[in-house]
Amino acid sequence: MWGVVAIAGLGTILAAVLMTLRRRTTVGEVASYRADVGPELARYIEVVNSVNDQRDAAYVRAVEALRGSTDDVLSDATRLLSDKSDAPFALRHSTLLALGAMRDPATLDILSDVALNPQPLPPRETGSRLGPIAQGHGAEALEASTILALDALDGVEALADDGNAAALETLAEAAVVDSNAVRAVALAALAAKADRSPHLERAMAEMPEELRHLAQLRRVSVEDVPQVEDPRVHLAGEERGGANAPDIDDGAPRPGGTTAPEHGAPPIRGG
Amino acid sequence: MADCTYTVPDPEATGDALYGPRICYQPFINWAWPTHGFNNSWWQDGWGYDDVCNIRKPLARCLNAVWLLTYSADDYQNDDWGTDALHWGGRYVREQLKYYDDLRADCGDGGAVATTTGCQWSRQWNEWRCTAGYEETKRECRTWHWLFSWICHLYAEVKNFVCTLWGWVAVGACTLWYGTVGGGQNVTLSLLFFYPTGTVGGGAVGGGNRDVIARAGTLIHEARHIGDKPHNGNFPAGSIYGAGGGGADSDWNYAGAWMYEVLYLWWFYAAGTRTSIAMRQSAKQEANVILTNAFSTSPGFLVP
Repeated sequence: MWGVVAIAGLGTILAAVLMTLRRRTTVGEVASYRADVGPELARYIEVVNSVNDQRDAAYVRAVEALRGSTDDVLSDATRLLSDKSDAPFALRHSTLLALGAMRDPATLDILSDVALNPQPLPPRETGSRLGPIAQGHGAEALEASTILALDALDGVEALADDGNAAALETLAEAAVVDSNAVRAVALAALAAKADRSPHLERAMAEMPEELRHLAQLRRVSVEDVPQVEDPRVHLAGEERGGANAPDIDDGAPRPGGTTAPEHGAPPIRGG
Repeated sequence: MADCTYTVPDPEATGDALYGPRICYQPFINWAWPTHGFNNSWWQDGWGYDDVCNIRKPLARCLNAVWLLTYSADDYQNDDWGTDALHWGGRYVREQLKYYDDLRADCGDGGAVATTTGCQWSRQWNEWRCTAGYEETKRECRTWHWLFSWICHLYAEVKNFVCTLWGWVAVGACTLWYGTVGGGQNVTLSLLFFYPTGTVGGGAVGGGNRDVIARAGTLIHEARHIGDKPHNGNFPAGSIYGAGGGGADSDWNYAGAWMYEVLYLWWFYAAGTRTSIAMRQSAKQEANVILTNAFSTSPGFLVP
């Protein structure tokens, strides 16, 4: 009798183990996306993704080159940012930064279109796959399109700062777009200058009651928001420490150092 | 045929071309591997273990985010806890991931970009909820008449004792489960952590922002979950994450995963070095999206 119980117990444990074991999955590349754009926009994308200061000589030259070929840049941007484009987020982000950097009223139509119509990026059927657990961690497509709308809105605000009346009108329209982030940033832009108060009041009049708090958000410096006072109290367990990261020379690895993998780390192929 | 597939976006625009040459340094890989708890067997079969410098593959794209977290402060050697999130962010991620010591890569289901699996939910009973509940009851006790307040204080102590005891039982049972048949406590990065588009189980997934700073932000977010803080609120009206649904942080002062992520992105935007204008702009916009969509009570500020 006890033998049967023991076998049943072992069987149950074995079944539980088998049920909980997760199979390692395999993955493979099927395609890559390369932008087909003119040399000026291609050069800007390269530079804006490699330098960290708008005063950098390479960046200044890249922006001047964009301004010297407005028609080509606008044509590429229209194609990449259209609803039918399959361009991924990062390329659209860099393209919108290019349009904003030009500070040219000719860019306003494209910027307005992106700022006022945040649409999920392809593949657009993603939302249907989300279960309740994925909520908040699974709205990637909407999050990305909202970031792009904010990129565009920055460009619109820069034009409004230059005195462009149509850009100011776009800011007012953005303040009533069905997106918390777009609304909040547009309202903050309208609140930034006293002469924009008629536009701000008009936008506020159209704002649903439950979203009025968005007009209270203020642009502040990161030093002025509450910080985490001591992250150690938020550690899961005792601090473990460990070796310091290898030293670097301005981004580049220092010459020398081991070439052999350690601690189970993968080896550099050919290293 | 692979279980999931991906399309590689332009590596310049995602920041991978900038960070790729930097991670291809054996001393860095030797350091990053154990300090972040990479689990060897989950990075084989196309995930990049055998081709660690190839920025088209998942492992290099993860290491790019680790490099960003480690070296983006000008004085990166100073990761003192008393500094700002740009300085201690990488250290916090290391400490938390090392606690589980099991960082995995997996296809996922096309929904979440990362999942934290383990006993963080039971640990938060005695390390957060019991303490918070105890202090709340004690505050209420102070409003009672002094003749009767001792009953209230006694109740608070008994409640705290039972709560803490339950917390320890829950942690013990949970640890036993994951240590035996539960498959281990781990952080699993899904296909959508590494790439904006791909297929899982034959269906198209993605559409998100998966540049290097977005990946770094996800690591900060998940690390905070390991630190015993689940989401405790519902998304606000108009939220892109699903208004009224669970998964938000109640407010900024809750110091949850969304707050940690925003704080890092914000500092990176304001003071990040060894990076690019495009990465910092992406950080700024993502921070504003989270600030306006992921807190039940609005924090009241925006990144300028």
